[in-house]
Parts: sequence; structure tokens; C-alpha cells
Amino acid sequence: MAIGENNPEGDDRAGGRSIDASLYLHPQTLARLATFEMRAKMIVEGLSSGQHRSPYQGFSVEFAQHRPYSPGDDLRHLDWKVFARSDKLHLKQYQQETNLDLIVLVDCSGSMSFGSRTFADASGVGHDTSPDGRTHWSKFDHATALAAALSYITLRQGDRVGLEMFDDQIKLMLKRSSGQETWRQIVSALASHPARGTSAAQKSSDLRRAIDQTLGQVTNRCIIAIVSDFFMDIGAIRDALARARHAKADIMAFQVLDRAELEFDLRDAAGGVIFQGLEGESPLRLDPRSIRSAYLAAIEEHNTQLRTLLRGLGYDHTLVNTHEYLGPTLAAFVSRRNAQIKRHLA
Amino acid sequence: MTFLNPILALTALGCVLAPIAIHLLFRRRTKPLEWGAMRFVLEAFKRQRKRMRLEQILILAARTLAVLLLALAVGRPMFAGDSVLQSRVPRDVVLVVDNSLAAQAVGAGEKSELQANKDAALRVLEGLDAGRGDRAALVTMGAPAEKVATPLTTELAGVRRAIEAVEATDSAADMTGAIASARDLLGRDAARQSAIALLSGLRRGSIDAAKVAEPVAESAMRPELIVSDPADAALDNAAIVSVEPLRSVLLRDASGQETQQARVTIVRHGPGVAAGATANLRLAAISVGESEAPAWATTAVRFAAGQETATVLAPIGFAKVEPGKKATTGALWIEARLDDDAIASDNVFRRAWKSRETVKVVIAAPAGENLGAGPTAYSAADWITLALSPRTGGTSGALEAENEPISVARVDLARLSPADLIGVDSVFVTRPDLLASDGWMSLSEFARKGGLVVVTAPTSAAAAVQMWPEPMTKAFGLTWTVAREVSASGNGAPRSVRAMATDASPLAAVLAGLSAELDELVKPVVVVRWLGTEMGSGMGSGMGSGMGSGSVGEAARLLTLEDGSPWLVAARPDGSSRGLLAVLLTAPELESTSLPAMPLMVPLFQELVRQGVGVASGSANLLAGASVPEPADLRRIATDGGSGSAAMSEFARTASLWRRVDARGATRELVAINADSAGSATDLQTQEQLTPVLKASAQATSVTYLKSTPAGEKPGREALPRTNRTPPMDLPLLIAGLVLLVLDALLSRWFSHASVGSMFGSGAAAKAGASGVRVQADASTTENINRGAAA
Repeated sequence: MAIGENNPEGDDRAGGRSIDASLYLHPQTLARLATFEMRAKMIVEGLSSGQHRSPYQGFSVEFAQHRPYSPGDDLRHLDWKVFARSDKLHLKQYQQETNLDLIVLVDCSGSMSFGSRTFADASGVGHDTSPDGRTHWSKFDHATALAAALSYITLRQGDRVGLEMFDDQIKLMLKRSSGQETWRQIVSALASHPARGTSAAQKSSDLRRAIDQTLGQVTNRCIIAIVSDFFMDIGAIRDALARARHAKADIMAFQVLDRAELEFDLRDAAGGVIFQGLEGESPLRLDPRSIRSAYLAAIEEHNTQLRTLLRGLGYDHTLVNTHEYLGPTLAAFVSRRNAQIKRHLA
Repeated sequence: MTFLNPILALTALGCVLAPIAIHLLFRRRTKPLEWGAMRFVLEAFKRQRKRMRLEQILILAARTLAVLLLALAVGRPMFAGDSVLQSRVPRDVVLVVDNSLAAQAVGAGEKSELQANKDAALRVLEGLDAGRGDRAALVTMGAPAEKVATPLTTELAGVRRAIEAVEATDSAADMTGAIASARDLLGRDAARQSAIALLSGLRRGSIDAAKVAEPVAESAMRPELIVSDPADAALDNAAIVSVEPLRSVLLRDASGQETQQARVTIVRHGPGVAAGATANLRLAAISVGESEAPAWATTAVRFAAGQETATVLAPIGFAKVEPGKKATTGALWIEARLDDDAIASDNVFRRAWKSRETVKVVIAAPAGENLGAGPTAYSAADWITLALSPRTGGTSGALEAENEPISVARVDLARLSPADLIGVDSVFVTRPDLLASDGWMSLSEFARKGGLVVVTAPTSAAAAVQMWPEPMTKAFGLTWTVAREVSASGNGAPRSVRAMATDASPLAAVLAGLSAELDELVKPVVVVRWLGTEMGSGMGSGMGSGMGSGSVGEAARLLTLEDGSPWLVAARPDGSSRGLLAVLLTAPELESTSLPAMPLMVPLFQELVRQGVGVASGSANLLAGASVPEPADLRRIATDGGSGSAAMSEFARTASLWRRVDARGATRELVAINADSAGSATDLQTQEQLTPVLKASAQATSVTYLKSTPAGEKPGREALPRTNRTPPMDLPLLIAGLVLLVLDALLSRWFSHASVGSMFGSGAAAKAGASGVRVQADASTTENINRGAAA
């Protein structure tokens, strides 16, 4: 892998633009990412053996346990030594390490272009504006950084990473690869996506369709990291997750929200503002103070339902605040996930 | 309800639209904000829609109502019931202080009511605030009402000084004039509250509640009337109403032993009227410059129980003349006094009197018409001469006799000139048909200066058609005239003469001295020829028809024929107050009447001259408050009770004695000014009796009575009335408006959930913390969002 600890940048001159990963990933974050080790909660079935253990008690190198023989079992796996000692038939079972396939599904709908943080504050290299001239750090920017970080961790483990961007359908897809250029390709695709940071798309996201299209592309079990604000109906999310569950895919949900969306603290907008939706909603003129409590209750209710839904299906849910640095968030996520895996394996 | 500042109120009322305008203005300036979590904004809006609409309506109502109340407060509303003394708007108050004769009433050991009235005026003045624009003026009520401190001024200290300087007058109260003056001063200023403060004891002498009020001219201006409490101290008071000597001219007795009398009328008031009483009346004749004490002649005047008025004939005391000296002649007056009572001024009455040694009479007759050979040959002039100066009879050519009280002189009628009338008291014209028009003008001029002119019908030998009445009527400005044709009894039966003793005209006083015997004296008199009169406006219907029961206008019928037609008529020239023209419509000759041979002849002409001269000289006796003719010629005579200024003004308000001087400074006559007994009534009246009269006379919206200050207590503002009317509304409105504004601010803050925003670091952080988000306060969120959106 060309991405080293001392050289985290992934310049990509393709498309006539210089893509600097440090625009999205703070150097400190990248430094921390180097120590992360992404483990799948469910050991996925991979094309090659890796450091991820298979959930199946197969017949590989590392012994796992005995189980009583049942008629029809392959006699090659009988443990004759146990039979000799106890006159009972037991089969030997082994844990198999597999490759990790990670598909990063990034939401590029209109609502993701919202952001209240300055670019200069969030950018890893202290740039005041984005390459396309924006001064604010959008949720899509944060999603880009998160996707890049996840990809970086995964690629560094030697696993394969694929990227898909969606709104009402899959807009971009990069095949899974663990190649040297994969990370650059991913960063370049994210940074150069035409819908980033603007509300020009004016489209809402259709997660169910995106999941369907994603699952249609994979044959093996994989981890799907959904990076989105999840501003969609809980019912649609439930349908999408149910399909993923049915396909035995692991889901890591990263809900990227801006702090302004979470707090709705628009005190300087006293007297009223015209709220203009980013996904084609009708504008609405009102005093934000008058609906603040109802707004907070609504978004909290939505987030609670989302969290409950995901955890009920055994999936991870991580709320990511765009005003916070990604490193601590990812560290907490990885450690929590590893702990869960350990508990699961134990 | 009206507004003190209507324009300001209208402008402020227009500001009611301000909250709506501001709302629309801010709505236009509302900033667009791109928002990612729009679905939650819409959801929150759906949840809060009804509540938000209710909140907006409440806030709009609170703001609009607050502005409305503030607008009303700025407009300073006035309600019909607002009291001037409690008003917060600029006030105009005209203080009407009663300084009339009734205000001089004083009980035992108490201050006069005038002082109480002045104290009450000062109390009202203390209730005013010049800083707020309150204005005051002062009018005194002693007749005629006088504007003392005018126009309305905010210089209240000056008004205070004027109040303190108000002096008592001896005139009656001029309530109507004072109210009219006050209303005139107040004018019509809708932006100010107007009031008349009437400060009086309200005794019957000041205003008689029993009489119908004289309303002022109808006007839209209706001030509030603030009235001091009616006096409650019952006081008895007696007043001298008039003193009339039986002789209007005193012809001094050479011996100095005068036995003159005067008819004195006394009136009494107060609770003591119910009982009988005796008043001690003293009368004395006092000459100007007399140094000796008056020789009072005392008369006891007895009043029966319930009797208010008494008229007595009382002797006049004269100073004794030392033997060998002549009695003083010239200016003198009769002074009448009563014992002291509640009002001192009306216990003294001075009556100017004329004193002469002789009365000079000129008989204008044709030259050579002197006493004839015998009574049958006597002309009218002869008879008159004999009547006036009986002792001159038979002295042909020398008519004047020494020691005669009436000196008679003859002048040629054809050459009568003003020079002939200098120093003369009376002129007789027996042949008016021979008098030229210049002569009539000279006579009228003489009469206007206070002379007595007696005209008798021409002799029966004159032409049947009389031409002289026209120039006489014209010269004397009469409103009646004498008929041109002689009337005579058709069947030869003479007419008898009848006395008109009941004639109410002041001129009837000419024969007042004969009133007791007149009926007997006229009985034997018959008239054969006479001249009628033609009806004139001045004579009224009774003159021409002869059927009237009394004089009308200035003319007085002193004697009539039996059918009522005038026979002896007296009138003032031009209806003035001086001079006298007496017309005997029959020639005093035996061919025309038996008068010359009857006992009536001498007393008739004697009285005609003696009294007529006094009547003709005009009244030099005025009541306080009357208009004074030629005040510049008056010089004050110091008397024991005299006070006030030494110069006479147009109106005399204080009882005093004056002498009228000519160009050389010599005394022409005395002028006496006495207290007007019309104002001496001390009877008490109640608020219930007074209120309707006061309200009607002032056309006031309301009548408020001031509280009386207890004796010995310093008057203070707390003595001002406490009415139960609507208090001024501007301050409560202002407070209500401000309270609403505060309420609006609280509502706005509460409804906008700004309190939640201020709790950002606690409640919101807790919520955000529950979502796993670290919260940082950043008030410029919207700015960042918009900046980003703009980019």
C-alpha cells in the first residue's frame, strides 16, 4: 500500500484537479488512523484469508472446539484421539480468517450539503476555502473525511474497500479493491463529486434503493458503512436495513449531523428567517425560536428511533457531529466495535 | 370624552398601525436560510402551528392595545365629569371674589366674610400650578363687577397680590356682571379646562336664590362653577335705605332755628326680624367745613314683629347758630346713623342737601306787563309773582323784597338771553306764544344745567291756535307735546282739578310737601280753558286719553282735570337727570281758571319753586356702584367713616362724600355716595336653594362647593373638594400602556422560547449530550450558515 504513516496525502491529478486528502483528514486524525485496526463484527466471507476470523467453525488452521458427531458429518474431521480416549465421536472445528470487504455508502443528497462550520476550522491543512470555493464545511465534507478514514483503515489492514455514493439512487460506484491506488481513487471520487457541498442536486436520498443496488453487486458477505444524515423516513430505513440483514451484510451507520441541526440555536435569527430546504421542500418563513423545542423533540425522536432500529438489528450507530474532529470519534467507534467483537467471540 | 391634544391623539392613534407595519417591514427583510434538516422544521411547524398563530395574535393584540393606550394617554382625554381642581390638564380659573356690601358682614369677634372670601380665593389659587400652564384671573363682585387682574395669566403671584389687595365696597353684588366678565375672560379654549370660582358668603345680599337668575348670554362655553360654602353665621343687620328731606332745598331761617324733617326708610334683615325691635336713628345736618360736632336729633324707630321695612319722618338736628350770626348757607348734607350691627357701612347715610338764603326766580313776561290796577286786571305773571312773593304785592317796579325766601325778578320775554339766567334758580314763562325760538333754546340750556323752567299756557287772549308747543317740544327734547287748540268746557261748566298724589315718578316729589292737604286744596279749583296734550311715546297712553293711572316715562302728571287729562305736567329735558320743565296747561288767570283766587295758588307755586329747584338741580345722591357723572370734577370730603382713594373713578363703589367743583375750584354741589341697601341682606341661604340659581346664571356644567376652613385653621390644599368624579385618565392610561408593553416583551420572550436559548449551556447541552454530541455555544450560527450558502 502506497499510503504510509508519513505520507497520508493522496494526490490525484485526474480530472485536472489536485485532490489533497488532508483537506478532509486532519493530519492528527490520519496519524491516529494508522493505529486503528478495523475488525468486522461478523467475520465475513472473503476471497482470501485475512486477519478477520470467519464466523463459521470451519476446518482451517486454528482449532476452535469439539462437537458431537452427527450422522452425515464428514468423517475426515473426526478427532480420533478423543474417540480413542473416551470412545465417543467428536468432530474438530477450526476458526477460519477471511478477507474484509468494506463498502462505504456515502449519502450525497441535498441535505448533506448543509454545514455551519467554517472550512478553515475543519480543514486538515488550514485552508479557508474548499477547492470549489466554499467557505463552509458541509456534512458531505465530513462524510468524505469519514469515508476516507474508514477506507484508509481498511486498506491498511489489507482488506478490500469499495465506494458508492447515492441520493435517490447510486450515483457513483468504485469496485472493491485493496490495491495501492484504491485510497487515492476513493478520495478523488469523493472530492470531485459534482454534488458535493451544493444543493444543486435537490434530491432526497433513497436508502432502500441504494442498498438494493449495492447488494445486487456483491456476492459475498460484506460490511456496509452507511455515511448519511439519515434524513429519511424511518420506515424506508427499516426496509433498507431489513434487506441488508436478509443478505447477512454487516451495517455500520454513521449519522453525520451538523451541530446547528442538533441544537437549532438560531438566536441571531430573531425576527424570523425563511427556511429553504435543500431537497426541494417549500420555503417556510417563521421565527426559529418559536419552534425550537418542537424541532429538537422531532429530531431527537427521529434519532432515537434510528438508533433503536439499528441496534435492534445488531448494527452499529454512530452519531458524528461535523463540528468535532473525526479522530476521537473514530477511535471511540473502533474501540467500541472491537470490544463488541471480543464479547461476541468470547 | 374629548382630547386635550386631539391632533396628538390622532397622530398617536395612527401609530396603532405601527406594530403591523413593523411586522410587515421585518417580514420583507427576513433573511433566507438554507437548512438541511428541513423535514424536522416542517414537522415542528406542523406541531406548533396553532400555538404559534395564537401567540402571534396575542402579541399583536398586546402591542396594538399598548400603542392605543399610549396614544390615548398622549391625547390626554377629558371626561365631562373631570373636576378642574383635580385636572391634570392646563386650567383657566377666574376667581370671582365677593367684596360687595354683604361681604362686610362680620360676627362677634370673627373676621369679615370678605376676608373669608379672599382666603378661599387664595386656597383655590394654591391648587393651581403655573408650571403646568394653569392660569388665573380675578374679578370682584361689588357692583359694577370689576376685572381686577386680567387677562388670564400664569403669573399667579400677581393674582395673589391682587386678591390680598381687594377692598370692600359698599355696593350691592353684581353677580350677573361678574359671571359675564368671568365667561368673557375664559373664552373658548378647548385645550384647557375652564372654571369660575365664586367666593362669597352667598347671603341674600349677594345673590337672592328666590329671584329668577339672570342668565348670561347663551354660549357653548360651559365652565365648571366652584363655589365657597354658604355662610352659616346668622347675623342681624339694619340698613338705612334712603333719607329724603321734606324740602329739597333748605331755605335757611334767618334765625337759625330750623325745624326740618326728613323721611327716612330703614330695612332690617336676619333672624331678628321675627321679633319686634327698636332702632335708634340719629339725623343731623352738617355743613362743609363745619368744625363743631353734629347736633344729632334722635328718633326711635320701632319695628313690629316680622316687619322688615319702616319709614319714619324724623327731625334733623341743626347746629345752633350763635346769636348775632347768620346761619351757614351753602353745601351741607344730612347724615343719618343707626347703631352698629353686622354691616357697619349701611348704618350711615349721607344725603347731599342744598341750602339757600333765597331762591331766585325770573318771570319772563312781555315788557310792561306789571301788576295791574286790580285782581281782575292781573296777568298770569302778576298772579305768579304774588304767589311766590306775597309781600311784594303792590310794589310796582320793585319786585324784589328783602328777607323773602323767594326773590322774583321780571325780564322782557322778547329779549330773553342766557345772561338773564345767570344765578337764577327758576324761570317762569307766562306767554310762551311770544317766546322766540332762541328764547326756547336759552331756556332748555338753562334747564339742562339744573334749572327749573315753568311754562304756563298763554292768556286766553292769545290766538286760538297755539304755535309755541312745537318749538318747546323740540328745544326740550320732549316725547310729548301740547295741543295746538285750546280746549274749553262746552256747556260752560268748569272742570275741577284732581291731584295725582299717587304718581310714582320721582318728579312727583315736587308737590310732596303738599301731599297732606293737596286734595282739599284742589277741590275748589275749576278750569274753564285748558290745553290738551297729544299722545307721545314719552307720555304713554295715559297722557292723551287722560285715562291713565300714573305717569309713564319721564313725564309726570302732578295735577289733572277731573277727566284725567293732564293739567300740571313735569318732565326732564331730554329725559336727563337734571333740569325740570313744568307745564301748567291753563293760564293762571281768572278768565281761565279760579286757581289764582283759590288757596291752592300760593302753596302750589311756592312748592313748585322750593321743591322744583331741588329736583331740577339733579340728584347729587348716588348709591355705591352707580355711574358718576363728570367724576373728574369731584373732590373728596373727609368724613369720619371715609376711606378709599381721593380721586373718583367712573363708578363709585365706596360710601363717601364729594364736592363738585367748578373751574375756579368753588364748590358747586355736594355728591353723596351711600351704601346700597340692596346688598345689606344678611339672610342665610342653603346649597339646595343656591345650586340651581348658580348653575343657571353661570350656565355651568356643575357646581362644586369648597369646604369651609375652620376658624383659626390655616387654609390648605387639603380643603379643596374631593369629588367622586372620574379622575384624570392620562396617567392610568400611560401606566396601562407601559404595563402592556412589558407584558408584550414577556410574551414575546416566552413565546419565542428565548429563555430556552439562554439556557443553551444547560438544557440544550443536556439534550445534545444525550445524542452523543458535544455542544459549543455559537451565537453566529445563522451567520455562518448564510455565509456558506451565499458562497
